[in-house]
Amino acid sequence: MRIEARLLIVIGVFFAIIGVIYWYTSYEDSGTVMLAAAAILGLLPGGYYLWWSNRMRPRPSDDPEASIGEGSGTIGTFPGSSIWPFVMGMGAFFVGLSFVFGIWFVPVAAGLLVSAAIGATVESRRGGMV
Amino acid sequence: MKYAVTEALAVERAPAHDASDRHRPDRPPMLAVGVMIWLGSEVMFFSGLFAAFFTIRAHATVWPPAGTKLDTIQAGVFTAILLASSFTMQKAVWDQERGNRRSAKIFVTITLIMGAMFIGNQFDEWITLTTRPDTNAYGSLFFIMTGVHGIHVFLGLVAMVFLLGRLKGPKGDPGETAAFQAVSYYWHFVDIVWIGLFSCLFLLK
Repeated sequence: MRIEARLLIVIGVFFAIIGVIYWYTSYEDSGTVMLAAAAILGLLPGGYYLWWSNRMRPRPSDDPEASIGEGSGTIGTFPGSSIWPFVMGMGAFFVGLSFVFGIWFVPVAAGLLVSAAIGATVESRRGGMV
Repeated sequence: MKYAVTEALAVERAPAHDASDRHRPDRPPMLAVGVMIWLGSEVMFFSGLFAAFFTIRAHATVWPPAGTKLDTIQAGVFTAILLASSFTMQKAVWDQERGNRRSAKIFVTITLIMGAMFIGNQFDEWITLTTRPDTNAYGSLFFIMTGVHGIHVFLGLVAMVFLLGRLKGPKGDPGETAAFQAVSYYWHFVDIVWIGLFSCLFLLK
């Protein structure tokens, strides 16, 4: 995890330094806020990974002397293909469209969102395409 | 029947774990790793709203605009409630990690109730505020920022309902701790964003 932590923390520290420079050269609120947020963007996950990298059992990816063979084999559980994230995305999209076309879009969006939630849950329990 | 869900076994290359490893995991859960990245992106999302707030405020001579009546104390009380709910959520996570599921259930429920109280107050504020979204830029900002945050709080409450459902299941679900941790990270994030929102919308002049 150390490499991932370092990558993110460098991003965070960079934006923190730039944010400080930006504030003292402009005294502009909005830009400083966004640069501070970009610093958090790096430091939040980076700090978490750094904390874990000091405590975790090293992975083959963390060892510069590791061979390709050590990282072989199955690496984890991944979700299968599913239509429900798309349905949920369309539901969220329709909620946004309701601001443009009118409140009557919201029941359509709600129907899509609820069916996506139900469908994803059933599919996760039952397996297979629902 | 061919299942679309791919189940793969994580192959252990290190020696088998003994019972003492149960409470000191040696890998961060993938769910927590991903949620941390996602929370970083959510910070960016809210920072866009904050940047809009500061830009509009910078162009105003009087802030908040004349005629804006805010009940800061009431909002402050519910800010304290949301802050306390972060502590109860963390207690629930610690209880779950130690296997004390009954206590975890109690504290998740307490957190849920406090979050629901916060949303209730948000609705009350929305209804009683004299400034409307179309009155001025401050009103527009207020409703958008508190509304988007309120949606985040609501989705956190939905996640807690799922956590409670998970607690009803059998003990020994290996993914349960990760789910609790992830929801707690999200909830702390929602809380801290609200501290920022409350400071900007209610306290900043």
